[in-house]
Amino acid sequence: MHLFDHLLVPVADERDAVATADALTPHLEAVDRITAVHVVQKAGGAVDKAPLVKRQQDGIELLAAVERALWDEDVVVRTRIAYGRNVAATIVDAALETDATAIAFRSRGGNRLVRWLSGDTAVRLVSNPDIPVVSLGTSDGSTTGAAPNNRARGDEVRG
Amino acid sequence: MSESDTELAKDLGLLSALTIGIGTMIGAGIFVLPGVAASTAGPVVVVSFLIGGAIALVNALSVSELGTAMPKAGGGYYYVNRALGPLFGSIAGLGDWVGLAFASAFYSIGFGQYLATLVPIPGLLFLSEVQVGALVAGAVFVGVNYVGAKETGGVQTVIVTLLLAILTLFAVQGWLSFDFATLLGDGGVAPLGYGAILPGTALVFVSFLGYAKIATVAEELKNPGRNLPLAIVGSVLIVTVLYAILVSIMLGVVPWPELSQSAPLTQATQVAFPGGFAGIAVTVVTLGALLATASSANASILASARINFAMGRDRIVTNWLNEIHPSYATPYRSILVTGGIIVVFIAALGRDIEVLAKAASVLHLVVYALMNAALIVFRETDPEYDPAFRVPLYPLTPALGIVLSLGLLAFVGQEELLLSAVFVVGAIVWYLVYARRNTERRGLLGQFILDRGGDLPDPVVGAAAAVSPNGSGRSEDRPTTMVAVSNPRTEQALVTLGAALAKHEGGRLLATHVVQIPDQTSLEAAAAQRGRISQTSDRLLADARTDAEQFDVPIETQTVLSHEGFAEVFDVAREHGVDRLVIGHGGAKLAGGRVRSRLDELTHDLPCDVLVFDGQEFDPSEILLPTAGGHSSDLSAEVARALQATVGATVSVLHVADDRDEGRVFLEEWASDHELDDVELLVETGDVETAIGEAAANRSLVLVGATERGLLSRVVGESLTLSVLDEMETSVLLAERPRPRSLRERLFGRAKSAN
Repeated sequence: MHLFDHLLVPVADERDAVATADALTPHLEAVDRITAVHVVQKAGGAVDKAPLVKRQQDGIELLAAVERALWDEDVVVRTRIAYGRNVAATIVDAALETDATAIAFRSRGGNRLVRWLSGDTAVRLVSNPDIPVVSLGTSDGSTTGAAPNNRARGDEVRG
Repeated sequence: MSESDTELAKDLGLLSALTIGIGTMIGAGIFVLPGVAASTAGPVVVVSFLIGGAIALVNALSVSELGTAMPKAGGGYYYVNRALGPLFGSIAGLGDWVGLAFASAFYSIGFGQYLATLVPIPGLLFLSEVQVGALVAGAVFVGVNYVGAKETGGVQTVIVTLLLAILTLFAVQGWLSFDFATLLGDGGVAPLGYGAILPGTALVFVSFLGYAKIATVAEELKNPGRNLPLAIVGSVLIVTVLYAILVSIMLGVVPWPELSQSAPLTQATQVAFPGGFAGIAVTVVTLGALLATASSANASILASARINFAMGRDRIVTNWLNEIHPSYATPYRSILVTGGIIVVFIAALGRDIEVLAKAASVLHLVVYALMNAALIVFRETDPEYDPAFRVPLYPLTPALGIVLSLGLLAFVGQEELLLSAVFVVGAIVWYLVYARRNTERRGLLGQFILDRGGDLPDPVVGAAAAVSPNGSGRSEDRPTTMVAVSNPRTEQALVTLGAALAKHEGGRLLATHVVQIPDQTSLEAAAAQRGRISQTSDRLLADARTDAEQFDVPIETQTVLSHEGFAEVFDVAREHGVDRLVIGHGGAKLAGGRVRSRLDELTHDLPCDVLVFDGQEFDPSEILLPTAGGHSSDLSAEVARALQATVGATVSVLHVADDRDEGRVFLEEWASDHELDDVELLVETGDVETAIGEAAANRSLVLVGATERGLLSRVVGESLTLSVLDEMETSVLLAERPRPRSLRERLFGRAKSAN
């Protein structure tokens, strides 16, 4: 079993979906399977911050975007939506449940305030993992996801 | 994974649902209103609370029934829109939304009143100190929701338990200081007359609005069939009893004319508790009041986001509102807009808490009346309506709900009625200028009236037709050809085919991009998808638009997410009243081997004419049309005629017969019956497949009508006996028309609804 046999790839939003697929593309010859997962954060018995169905729909859409972006690549892509209070823990759980060999994610950046307010999933993901975690970079070295460049490149790849 | 995970996502149990209701309601009735209410009715205001509870209970029963039948986000709005149509849906949705904003402003003012007893707040410009406090509080509530406070069910339960504990403490100590002489005062039970009871009810009714918020999150409830009615009816009963007991005690501690208008419970606590403890007790009660009003306001803001979502889903408002924040995962736009309305209400109307309370009640009462009417419409017109909980004594209960809700309006006061009327009229104008062109879903009632055009008086039918939605002013009467595009490689072929056919009959084109997704969440959730269209979808549909425009055919596009592909396409076709469906062969195979029996059933019940194109490029220049008669060959003849007229196709009709002469007679008759002029007639004998294969060799398209029903299902099931079609180089177009009987039914049905 190799480290990259089966990657679990968390995807947070639409921009993230495209950027993550882009970041994965150069490494795909080493990867057999990808399970893209979108975590819908739950309040655990309180009313959620946003309507559940809306977030499920958004999740389906952005997972479909990942699938399409990797459509022509020689890799098996599965998708799933996971639910949990703690996003990082839910990602790790999903990886263990799907027997993924590693988690590969792309840090979404964001300023300190946003990280503090929204809880920095990236830090919690790598700080105490039960499974190897790979942080994906982008080819221009930026991790903040300057969208125009990434998008343009994504279009070329898939166009 | 699919079923159980979606179930996991619904994590609101009975206790959570109860605490939403109780937590929202407790704030207003006990902490904010008693003083104001007592001054309008005297001690008899306790009866006002009981009557308010009774009216709320009747409506709560109806909400419960509707909620168990349709556990959907949006609550009252959803049911009204489904039953009475988008005009009333707009009134209910916008009414509910603005009503919640009034209520939130009211809770914020309540918060400000108690805050002012704790810390000194300066007045500012035209704002009183309470308003300034309320504005700060309102801004904080909105900010917290914008960023997304991490609340848990545990916190919520703790808040409600804490509040109940504080109130119990007050009740016990208050009971010890309770004095009947204080309660009755000088003027007896009803110093202002019994006529003051109902105006009192109109004022305090805002205290009972919380239960409706449970219905707005019905979609997220565990086991809604059981938990929804229990939570809704239970929370109304519990708070009614609490209000009656606690308000009685308060009035037995402080004489009603002296009860504080702004912080009644603080005052009552001060009097009830002995000197040494009074300070601590007052602080505890005041903190409880802040907690209660804050949680009420918070729940209202969350509930309005659900209503906006439900309205956006039906395109009553723009779905732009419902965009989720990429970092905070909150519906930030909806929250900001609602927050803006709340702030305006606090600033403009916050000096008089009565206005806010009554305006919130009026709008909710209008929604309740509509909702009870919706219940009756569901029961009478919808055979599939199947609630887990049914109101007792139907139709008395919903009728009573309408009468009580509208009746209470008479006691509200002109100013508030006028204010609310402005919003109702605003909702109607909104429907006429915006929503009518965008929403597509017609209500059960409108459908019912239009279907019975002959039996009902003309004005009724005319009125129903006049307010029907027309979906972006699109010409619904035009024949619609739907093209299901999913693969960029065949998009052009399919759209060109669809456009040529639509052009021939002066119709319109509906390009539907079916994005197949894995079995993860309910089909329902996937089918409801609207709004944001992904990049790929965008490009595919933009191409479709360009291709259709070359034919000068009006085209609309939509994206559908589905994990059932093919079946979903049929559903969409049915929903849009499509006349003809064009799909690619790959599209027909979309469903793969999934649930074969369901598919067989589906393909035996076609929603409309179906054309399946198998090939890469659509080239209709040389068409071969093999026929043996049959009603599906009527369709292939129509298609051939359309292609002759629009793209100048050359058509050769082939009939394989045992006898050459008989074959020629049949073919000539068939061609003239189907008005096919200018066609080459080919008659062959021998093996059908060989004959077709040979004739097809030098042609660009083979157009086959199903000779028996179920051709399509065999294509899908990959058991097509005409295997020759699979082996041919030539592109193939299969045409199947639904069985004549179902076709007649369909035409009959459509003729009625087109009135």
